[in-house]
Amino acid sequence: MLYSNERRDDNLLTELLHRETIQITNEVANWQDAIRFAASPLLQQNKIEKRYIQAMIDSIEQHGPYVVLTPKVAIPHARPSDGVNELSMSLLVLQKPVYFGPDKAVYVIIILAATDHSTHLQALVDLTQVLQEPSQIDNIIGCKRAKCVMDKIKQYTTKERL
Amino acid sequence: MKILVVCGNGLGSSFMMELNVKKALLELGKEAEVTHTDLTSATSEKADIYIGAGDIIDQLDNGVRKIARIVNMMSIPEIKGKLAPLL
Repeated sequence: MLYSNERRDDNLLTELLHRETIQITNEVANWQDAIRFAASPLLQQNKIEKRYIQAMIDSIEQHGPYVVLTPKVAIPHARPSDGVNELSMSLLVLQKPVYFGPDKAVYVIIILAATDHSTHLQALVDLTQVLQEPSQIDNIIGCKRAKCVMDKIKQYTTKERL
Repeated sequence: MKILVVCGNGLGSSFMMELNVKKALLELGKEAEVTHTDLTSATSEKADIYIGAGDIIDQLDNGVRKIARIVNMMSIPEIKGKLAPLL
């Protein structure tokens, strides 16, 4: 935990997903690389440690691709104790899908690094608003720039509070 | 009536699905206590219905528990369809 006094209880999705944490790329070799690529901004900013990336990969190898919450979208995550320094999220959009399982084509990878069981929940409430509509997911996949992804998320995130 | 939403770590996916289970119950006009947890805790927690992604929830299926196996955790129609017969 770095700046515990600056922690807020209402970390909105738009505060976590911004220019420095949203990436768009053409394709990746496999789902493990997708997770490494998607998490790289958080590693560079020291929000997570390298072992957190391995923990996310291990979790999927152990439990299967349950992180594919809805078609085209995966939300890899591990435990706070697996090397999270600060609550953070990052998002990767792929132009070509990567397969997390035989029928699990994924275009959007959203890394979640939580520090406890509560501070990230408002952001997940917001994320649920975004992912509930398949057309909204398709619109995000259609983005060519991070700014476009930011704008879409802002647009889809209503003021639903916990 | 207690519904337990289960995922691998109990941090992300299960919470997001909990929100959708609550919406599904509202649409079905049913009331239940809904909480979320990780797979390890779920094995020792008593609930009337266990709901989660296939990969996870299969590990709780002992032939006795009422299990709802969800493919699309963001789909309220799917959650409604699979919960309704168990309520």
